[in-house]
Amino acid sequence: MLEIKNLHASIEGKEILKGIDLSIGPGEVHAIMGPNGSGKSTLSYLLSGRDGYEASAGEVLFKGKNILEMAPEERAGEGLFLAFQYPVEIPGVPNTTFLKEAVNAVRKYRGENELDAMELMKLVRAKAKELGMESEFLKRAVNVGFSGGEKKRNEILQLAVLEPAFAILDETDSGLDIDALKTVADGVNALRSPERSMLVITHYQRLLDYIVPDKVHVLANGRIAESGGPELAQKLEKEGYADFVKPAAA
Amino acid sequence: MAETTTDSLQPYLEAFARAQRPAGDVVGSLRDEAIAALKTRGLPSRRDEAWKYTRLKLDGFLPGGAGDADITLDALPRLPFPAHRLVFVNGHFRAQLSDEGLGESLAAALPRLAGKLGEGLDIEALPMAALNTAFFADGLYLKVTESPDKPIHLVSLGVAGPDAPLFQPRNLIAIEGGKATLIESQLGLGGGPYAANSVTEIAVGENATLTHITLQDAPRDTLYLSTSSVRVAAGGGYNAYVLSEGAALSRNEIHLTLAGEGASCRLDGAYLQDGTQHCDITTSVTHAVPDTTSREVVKGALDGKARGVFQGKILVSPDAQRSDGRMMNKTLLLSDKAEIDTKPELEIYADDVLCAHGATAGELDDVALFYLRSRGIPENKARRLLIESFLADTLQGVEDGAIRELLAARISAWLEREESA
Repeated sequence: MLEIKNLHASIEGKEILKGIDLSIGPGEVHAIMGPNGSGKSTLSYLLSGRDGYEASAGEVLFKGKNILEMAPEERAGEGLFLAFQYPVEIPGVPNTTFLKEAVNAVRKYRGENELDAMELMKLVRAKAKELGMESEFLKRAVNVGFSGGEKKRNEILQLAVLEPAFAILDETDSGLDIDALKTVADGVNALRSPERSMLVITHYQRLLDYIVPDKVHVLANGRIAESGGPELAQKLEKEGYADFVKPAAA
Repeated sequence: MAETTTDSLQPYLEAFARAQRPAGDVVGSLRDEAIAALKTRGLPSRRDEAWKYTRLKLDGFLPGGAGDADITLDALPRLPFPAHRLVFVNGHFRAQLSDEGLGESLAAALPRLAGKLGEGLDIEALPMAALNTAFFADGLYLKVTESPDKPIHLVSLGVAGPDAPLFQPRNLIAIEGGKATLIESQLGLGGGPYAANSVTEIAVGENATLTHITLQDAPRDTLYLSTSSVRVAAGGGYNAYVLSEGAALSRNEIHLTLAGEGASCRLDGAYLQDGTQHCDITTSVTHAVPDTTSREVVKGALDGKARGVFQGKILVSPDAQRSDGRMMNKTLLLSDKAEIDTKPELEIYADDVLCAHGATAGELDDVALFYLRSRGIPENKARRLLIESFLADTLQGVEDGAIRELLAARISAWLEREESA
């Protein structure tokens, strides 16, 4: 599904990713854990195509296509989705309008018929209901005045409505209390399927109690320092990242 | 290049000396005072604090512009809802193209209006109002005593002839009771440059309300200058929205006094400009008595080498306690060559007031742009959505849903044109 090969990236002259290799198969959920500054966010922006984040070497194959040269909207069309660590507030644009624009843009990219307002409302209402979201939530401007938990749930709603083949969850647990975390994790788990892969990026093991990954990777100093099963997350919870962040030269 | 005041004024003084006074011109002395004021202070120049950011070149535009151009009904803009239409060509009323029963030619009504014109208009301080006063021939006289059943649509068409005329509509509006809505379409028929210099005097009576929408879409080679003087009595409301899209250079100037307790105003608007357009929004609100409210949200999007100017002032008089005034100006710069000069000012002489102002200028938020694109929305569409959302809160004070939709549709249409340009 997604194959990252020898990925290098520098931001403002500083090398952040120093050769990442990662392969995620269909239906698999992988977690990337790492201390602050290890390159987790850079990796998620690089995969989703944010301006200013470019690979200096390596490639990323998504369903066999190299996506690094694609615009963010093309990657979305191909089926890639990034759930933001800090979802953006967009005053003046109702949530439903945003979802309609997004769904139809992606459908258009795939050569599918665009949905009319009625069909879209039906789809969005059904997905919102599955996530336990009130319909009042849909009328409000995108993320404006939303609590931290509501913003993250709104990301999961977009994920549910857009039905991407691959979802990156960037620090989805940040800023959530335990109840909100459970709700969001339930939403994500409901979307797990043999056709959908996920990459869960997190600093803390806590989220992985609720979204149990198939594999866990430790990102430190721009490289995958260790890979393992869910038990690796448990180990990190006990021992911290100290072993991974010791200066290489010491 | 030093140009003296008299040099630039000379052609207008000559035209004034030549002008035929209409028979029964009850405003002769008003015109003489206006010319005297112009002789003393001159036309707007960079030496004027109020014209520091807007360089007005009037040379070449001389008083004229007959109102007899051949206009067919098809050429008139239509609103997407029923309205009472009043048509003016180069400031002259055209009865044949207008609906009857509400509003009339100022020229025709002038003999009845002696002493009512020019009240509260500071021609010493407002040179363009002085120029208008010296030369105006016609305009709208509108008196409302009870709520009209539909909005009044003032269609103001500019037509250039072989010369480059300066025409100067003069409007007098008295809302004595009820709620009225006036929608102005400021348009031109092309055919060459012209300058429009209008003055509108508005009195909103006790507990009356005027909603005043201006759709300024004059041809891109014209000058559009508008000065309004507004007085709102106790319990009255004046709610304006100015959408500035057109003209090579435009200046929309409003001087408003909240003159009675409980009076309120909204002065909202948006400027959408590109190329080398210049758009100036200048407002001053005086809270003259206690317990009055003013709100102002003006935003703009500037592309190309367009230049915007916002000068907003809230003045609270010494005894105007519990004045509540808020003013906001925000500009989105869509190119690095676009420029905004913004000058919000508060001048407060009372101690128990709630007043605030703010101004920002910036580019589109690239994180927001990335957010939309990461959801599959193409870049041009994402930019449009963000600009629309930026401008959307200027519309929140527009009460009537159909008018709000009309304004939103015009903003969308401008953005669509920008995208394909």
